Amino acid sequence: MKTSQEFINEINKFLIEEFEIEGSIAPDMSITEALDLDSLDLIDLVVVIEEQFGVKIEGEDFAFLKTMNDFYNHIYSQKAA
Amino acid sequence: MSILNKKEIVKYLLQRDPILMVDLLLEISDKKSVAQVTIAKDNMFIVKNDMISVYGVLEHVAQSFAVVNGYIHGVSIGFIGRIRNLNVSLLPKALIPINTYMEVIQQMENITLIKAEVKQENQTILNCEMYLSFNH
Repeated sequence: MKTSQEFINEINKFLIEEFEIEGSIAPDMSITEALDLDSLDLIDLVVVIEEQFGVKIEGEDFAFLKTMNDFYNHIYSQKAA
Repeated sequence: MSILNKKEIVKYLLQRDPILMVDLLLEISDKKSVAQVTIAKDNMFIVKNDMISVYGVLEHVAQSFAVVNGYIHGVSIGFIGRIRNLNVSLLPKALIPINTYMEVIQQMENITLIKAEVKQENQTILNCEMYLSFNH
């Protein structure tokens, strides 16, 4: 089982490639700011996370996922479940 | 035998002639559905040689899914948000039925992402992914 930091690094590497992010992702950034997403892109995020990590994110989850840290914790906890 | 014929389809869609671009809902299941349209020669989307423009085909795709959405959730105003991975093989012809095969990839709040394949006489006309927004 990977550590949470290894998993965060894996998620970031994947997201940077998938969304062509220039620069790094700071954990306290909002998801839309970190990944430069609009509302339609959020669906793409849900699709690629499910495909890559097997974790389903529901629309209502985004009400609680304010920062990238929230996002990492959500995926990590869903994977561990 | 269709799920909805042209008379019934207008109950689930806001568009009317001459912009109405779907005739029949042929199949509907959990995430997949099939719709059909036969375009008349005087349709506004006809270009040269009685062929239908890509814009007309995309409007047909959007309206086809709007019917599905209306059938399941009730009629609402819908918008095409984005079209992605559009591949056009050829332009379809008027007066020959066009079938559109739709599959929901993901839904989140009021946005639905579908993939669609449009065929005429068993030839693929185009395929694409389409983001649609409906105000429920």
